[in-house]
Amino acid sequence: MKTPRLLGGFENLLLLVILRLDDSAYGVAIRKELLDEAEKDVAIGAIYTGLDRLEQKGFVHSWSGDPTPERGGRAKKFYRVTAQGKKALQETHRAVQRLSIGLEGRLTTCLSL
Amino acid sequence: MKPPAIPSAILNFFASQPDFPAVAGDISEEFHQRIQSSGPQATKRWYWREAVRNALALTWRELRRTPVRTTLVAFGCFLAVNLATALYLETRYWFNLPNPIEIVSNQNLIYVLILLNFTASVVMGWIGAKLLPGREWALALTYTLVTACLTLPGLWYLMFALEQDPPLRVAAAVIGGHAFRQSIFWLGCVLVRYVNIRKHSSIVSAAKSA
Repeated sequence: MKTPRLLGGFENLLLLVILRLDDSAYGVAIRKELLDEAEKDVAIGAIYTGLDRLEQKGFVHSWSGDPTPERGGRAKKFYRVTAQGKKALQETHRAVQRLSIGLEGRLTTCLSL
Repeated sequence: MKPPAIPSAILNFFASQPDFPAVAGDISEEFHQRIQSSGPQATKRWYWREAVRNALALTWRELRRTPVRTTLVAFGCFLAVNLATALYLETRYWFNLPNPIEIVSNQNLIYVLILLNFTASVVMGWIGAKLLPGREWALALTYTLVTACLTLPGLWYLMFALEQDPPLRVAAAVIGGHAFRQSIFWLGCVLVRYVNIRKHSSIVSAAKSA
């Protein structure tokens, strides 16, 4: 049986954010979404480090947008989740779900603490 | 309103890799968005904080990019710089000139060694940085780490096993020599980085004007 490639915690969050943002996923939007929805204040440099790793694994695909004056003439770098990335996300979520079976009571106790 | 100059320079230095202009662009964009909501003073403080945070994050990224290759290049540079000094001292030995320990009290020899180490370090810093485009800063840091790992045991041996006399003077000469080489090697790496940033800035300006 082929072992599924499970994602790390931050990689998982990044892929979910890119999926949520659809075709408008770039640094600033990803950072804002992480802050608003996951309450995680991450440096832009750390986000690109994670995205770079995901791109090397073939889980995301990137392309450059147009440069704008408020960006000092620098182009936006957009990201999209590939089919391989979606598969890795599904496998990770399935693994988390399987491991959570029977723990509902304990998880409720943990969350209420 | 423009972002403050010093943190911008820090960001440009650390986010200068060819595939990383987006980092500086994103922070600049957020800076302009924040001015509207938080005001100029709070935004300037935020910008400084982000510049430092991103410098650390990007340094970590650079170090993790190709650690084996970076370490090999740093080791090669360390060997080349030290071989240049060793060959010079060896030549002096064969011609019956003062031995290395006499360097401390021989002013002329010190000047020659300073010049030799300056040239070898800056050239190797330049060559090493050219071999690792986008990882010049990681090379400088790895070079320091390689030097510390290889020099400290030697220094310990010189001071405590050979009981070289006077130990503090020998230690100061060795540490001072390596600190000098470090700073010049860093200078070589930073020069290449600076040239790359300038090259990239001119490409961005050309794209802007087009």
